Amino acid sequence: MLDLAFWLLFLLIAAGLGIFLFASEEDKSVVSLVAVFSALGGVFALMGYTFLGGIYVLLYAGAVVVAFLMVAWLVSGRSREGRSIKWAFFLIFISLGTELSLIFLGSRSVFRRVSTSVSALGELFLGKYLYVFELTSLLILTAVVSSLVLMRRRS
Amino acid sequence: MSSTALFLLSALLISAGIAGFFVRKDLLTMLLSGEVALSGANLALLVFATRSSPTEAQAAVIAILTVAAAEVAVALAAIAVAIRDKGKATEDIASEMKG
Repeated sequence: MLDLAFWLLFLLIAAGLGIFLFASEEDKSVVSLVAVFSALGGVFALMGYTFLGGIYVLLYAGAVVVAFLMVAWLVSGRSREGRSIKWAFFLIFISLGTELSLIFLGSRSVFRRVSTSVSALGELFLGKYLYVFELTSLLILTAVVSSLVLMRRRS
Repeated sequence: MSSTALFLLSALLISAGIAGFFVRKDLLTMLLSGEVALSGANLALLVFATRSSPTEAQAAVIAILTVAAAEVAVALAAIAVAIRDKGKATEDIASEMKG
């Protein structure tokens, strides 16, 4: 069962990457990546990294790719109506459906030794890797400030 | 699901990312190709570390994701500026964007 789910997700990722590479329009490429990252989140969940799988679906598929999609629509300068991106949406529905069915069937870790404890992760970030954590927050602050400066600059 | 299958998936993601970076001409999909390749590298890292230190690998992947998200914020701003100034965001515009 887990093998079947993995190969289904593998096929979805391969199909999404095919659309990403060969689509003629930018927004088709970007939308297909929502399916790729959702399916990849499912693969992580199958490996036992359920928290990371959730992060991938929420952060990558839900936030990063959608931000890209908004810029893609800005680039193309056309409205959303009349766009034929139904194949990409079809892939997204299948990948999210596979993940939901995994949840309903009860996700079992393939590698039994994988620790999925979020508290262990928190202890690691606020203990051993505290400086890395603080440096990362500094980097995010710098990125936010620099993107604001870039956007405010007049040509 | 064996480690070999996971490495195969990782190789697929990295190859597609590298191919996309060189095949596509627009900055947006070139940047996204980098993200795809990075995801493949994350997957390989997790598979390698599963037997020894899975929690630390998970922490490393989350740190990588955060850095990638910061990179995306700056790159999207640069692409939006390129669109505003030049009307397009293709690879030939990138060479004109030096400070």
